[in-house]
Amino acid sequence: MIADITIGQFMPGKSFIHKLDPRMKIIVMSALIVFVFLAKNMLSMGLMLGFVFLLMLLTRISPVMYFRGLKAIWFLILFTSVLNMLYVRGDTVLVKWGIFTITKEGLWQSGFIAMRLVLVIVISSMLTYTTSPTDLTAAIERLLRPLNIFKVPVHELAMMMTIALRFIPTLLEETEKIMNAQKARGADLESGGMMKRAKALIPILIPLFISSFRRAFELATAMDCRCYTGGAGRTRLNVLRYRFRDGFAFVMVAAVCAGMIYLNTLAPALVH
Amino acid sequence: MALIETQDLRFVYGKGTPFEKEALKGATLAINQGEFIGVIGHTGSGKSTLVQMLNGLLKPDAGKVFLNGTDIWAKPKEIRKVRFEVGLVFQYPEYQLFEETVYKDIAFGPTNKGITDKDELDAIVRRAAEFAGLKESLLEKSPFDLSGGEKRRAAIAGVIAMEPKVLILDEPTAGLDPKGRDRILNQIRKYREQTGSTVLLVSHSMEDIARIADRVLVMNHGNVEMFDTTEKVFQQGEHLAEIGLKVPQVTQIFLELKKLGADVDTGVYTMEQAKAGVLSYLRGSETEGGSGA
Repeated sequence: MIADITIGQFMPGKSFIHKLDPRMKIIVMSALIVFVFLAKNMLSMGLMLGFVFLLMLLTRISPVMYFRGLKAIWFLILFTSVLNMLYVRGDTVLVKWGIFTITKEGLWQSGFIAMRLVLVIVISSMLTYTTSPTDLTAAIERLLRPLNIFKVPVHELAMMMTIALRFIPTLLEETEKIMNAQKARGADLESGGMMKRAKALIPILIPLFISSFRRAFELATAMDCRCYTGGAGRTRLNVLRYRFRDGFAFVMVAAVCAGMIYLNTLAPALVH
Repeated sequence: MALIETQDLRFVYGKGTPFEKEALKGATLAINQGEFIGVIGHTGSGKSTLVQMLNGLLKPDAGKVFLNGTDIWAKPKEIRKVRFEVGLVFQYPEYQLFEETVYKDIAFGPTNKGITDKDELDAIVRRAAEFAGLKESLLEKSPFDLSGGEKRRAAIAGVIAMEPKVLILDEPTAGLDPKGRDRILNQIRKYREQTGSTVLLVSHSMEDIARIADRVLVMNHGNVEMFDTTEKVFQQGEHLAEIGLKVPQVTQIFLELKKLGADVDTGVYTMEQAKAGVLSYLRGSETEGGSGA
């Protein structure tokens, strides 16, 4: 149900990964995602898999949670890898059945694609699981600050993101409450055709919209009361600071990336 | 036979996540036809979870709920029928209003129940509005144009209109002014007198519970702590204080009087009883004083 959505959820903790500066986390996780796509043979992919697995253990979050994040897209993974398996032509034919031909190269490639997708999801889940939404937007705001030169309202964008992220759980909770209230009045949300189901949403959407507007007005008033005027001249309560562990994380990731480039040259490429 | 019976109800929120929380740890109780039950307990004691199980909104992880002797989850596909039998008014129910007019909103429940005859529906809606203390003239207004107290009563009418055998209200007076509060409590009392329905009232106000309930159910950390007549429950002031609850103010006064050495009955929980108690004490001490002089 609604409570099963885990992507983007923050799980408080005190691990090494949790404590990293959010800016550094965004930088190294992006680097890792880029390098997932640069892995060309089993050696470099193996290094990446091992490193990400190590990071997963370091977060001290149960692997079950990562698995839940994957559950949402397992169909996509299956679909792309099956398509690749059938589409890629190679020299060593393993199975031939009608118009379908499965080659050794196709098998390798589909395995690689599946691994890449899983890694990308795991790495991005790791970022959101270990970083609170406020930290995340603070980091994005800081990283995007150079865009101020081009008159991009970076602070305002970051504030909008913070507010949106902040209200996702609130609105989910509210939706569930309204759904329950209407179910208690006998609303039938679970049966009937498309049209009937769409109609059944009206008693939920109208109260939800009304309460969202109410919340928006209340928040705007509260911000006005505290003299919020946007980014100019604002300082932060918790100033982001790079520490030794951030340097360490940077060096480790750089070493893994360099290692992968080297390993790529040691064996022939399996993907094209 | 009891109208509603529960056996060892258990429920855990957020199973398998770091936010796991055990909300009910084996609640067993029985409620008879026509009773007025007050439900008290501090925040997070499992009151709301319990009442949502009684009408089948939450499915217990373990344990059973019996309505008229039948297990409500015996046929999971027919759970909607239970919701018409056990009407539940949530906290701040005014946020569930959605129709163009109050009339249509009240008609939502009975229409879902399958009442299609226009005259029958009209009679039901008007009767429900009357029980909730809504004026006829409000019925054609938009629910969003009503005052806070009127919205609340319109939402309650929406549940009463399903003509449930059991009416459960989760803090129906929260956030209302004293006048609005009295009005809702009086309407509920009148509704129960005229229909003979069973009513469960969840409240943080011991005064409200004392005034209106026959029996009081005390929840604590997901367990049924006490379930007894209003008088017996409020006699245990210390026990209630231990679990973070209070007795009504009048009862508190009588407990203090007893501590000071006055021979008064501490099972007092309404103003009328308090008046009688004080008078009988004064008369008693007068005669004592008379004989001593």
